[in-house]
Amino acid sequence: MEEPSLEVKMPEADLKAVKFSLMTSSDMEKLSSASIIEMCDVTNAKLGLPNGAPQCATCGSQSVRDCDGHFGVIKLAATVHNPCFIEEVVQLLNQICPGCLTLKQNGDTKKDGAKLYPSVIFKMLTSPRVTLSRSKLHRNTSVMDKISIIAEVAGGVTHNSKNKAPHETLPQDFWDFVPDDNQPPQSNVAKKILSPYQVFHMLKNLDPELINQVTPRRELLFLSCLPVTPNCHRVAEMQYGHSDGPRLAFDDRTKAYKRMVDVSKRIDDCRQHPQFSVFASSVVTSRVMECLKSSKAT
Amino acid sequence: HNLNYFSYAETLVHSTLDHCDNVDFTLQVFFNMKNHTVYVRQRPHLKMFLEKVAQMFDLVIFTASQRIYAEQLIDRLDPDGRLISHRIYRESCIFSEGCYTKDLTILGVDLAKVVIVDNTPQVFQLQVDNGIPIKSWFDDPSDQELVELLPFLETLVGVEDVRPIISKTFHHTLEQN
Repeated sequence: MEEPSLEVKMPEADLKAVKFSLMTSSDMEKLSSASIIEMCDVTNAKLGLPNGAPQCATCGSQSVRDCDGHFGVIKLAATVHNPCFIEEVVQLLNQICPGCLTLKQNGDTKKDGAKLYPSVIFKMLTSPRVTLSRSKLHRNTSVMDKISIIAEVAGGVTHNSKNKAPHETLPQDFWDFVPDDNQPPQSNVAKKILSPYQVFHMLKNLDPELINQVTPRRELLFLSCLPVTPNCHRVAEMQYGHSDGPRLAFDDRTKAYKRMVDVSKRIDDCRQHPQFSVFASSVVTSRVMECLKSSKAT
Repeated sequence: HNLNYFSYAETLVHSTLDHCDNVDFTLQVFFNMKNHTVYVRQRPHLKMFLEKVAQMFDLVIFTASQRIYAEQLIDRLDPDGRLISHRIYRESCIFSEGCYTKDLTILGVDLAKVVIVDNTPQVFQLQVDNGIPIKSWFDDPSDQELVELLPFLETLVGVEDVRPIISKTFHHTLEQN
């Protein structure tokens, strides 16, 4: 008598397409195998081989050939606008009326009684990091250029009168649409460098539907997490003829991740300070750019 | 006609509220509801320097100091008003992340003709190539920075664009790995 067949069929599927896209912060969290909280977590055994342990703490593999590595995630001390999309942010801000937070009309027709303010133009500003040494300015190209957004008064402002401040005619409340970050009030300036805190809050105050009309996938404009790539992307194991075993070498990206984690912990200690949000936004933005730059460099 | 901007705190003079002898002059300034005495020392060779620069350029003082105090000080440096053609104060600076930035476009002139001399490089961030750095000065009577700067400024008189000359002379790119 023939025994019934014990073969079990595995599920099958045909691969029809591959699509690339960008990760949102929630994608990063879902994908990660470990939260990076301490500086030493950046090369944690959960992120795969090589590490100081004999096997991967996530999948148990004991060989680099068998483990593709696993991602970690750093929770940022402040949610910031994504520096990769600063041009998109500028584009978006230029299509919004800053006073009433609606899309600008194509024509310049004003409602009756509406204040005739000069319009505002937002621009991206890239300035090199410079230090002064022996009467020479040094541009340090290993540090990413500082990227800011400038808000500037547009329109025909005459410069004829040398003795009169060029923009004395600005209304006292002209800059009220810029979120307050407790800097000295300057109502008469024609140009403002927006802090990361101010940019974030201007975006946050916009209607999500409005953003989606101008920029697809609004959630990509913000970052509250940063992915940490597997150890095999950043850590090299060097075989020496020493009896004390292999040595690990870390690349610049690993060091940038460690600085990111370190600064996040330091910032958390200041969470009770009234200016925490402003300070955290600036520091986090600066460190995120450093991590992104070191990723680009490799 | 080319323009030349100067900061003055620690660039042209040093001033303090702390009493000290051996100052060039004092100012009485009223702020925060009371009178203060400001003690001012001039950087060595300042008078000669201003005279020479005013012959070569339109000379503008651009300072992040408060107007109420800076105005009096500049009046002492140029009592007849014949050297310094324009003054710009703190309210015309852009405040960004803890420091005042000087935007050279506010007078609406061709930036190819504008030079700014300052001891604080952060103020240059909007127009880096227009910036000539100078060491801060506090009290060294043997300081020669202003004298040594004059020959370079003379090379800028009448040139089409000052920026590549400044960049080549004073700007150095650090390549680090």
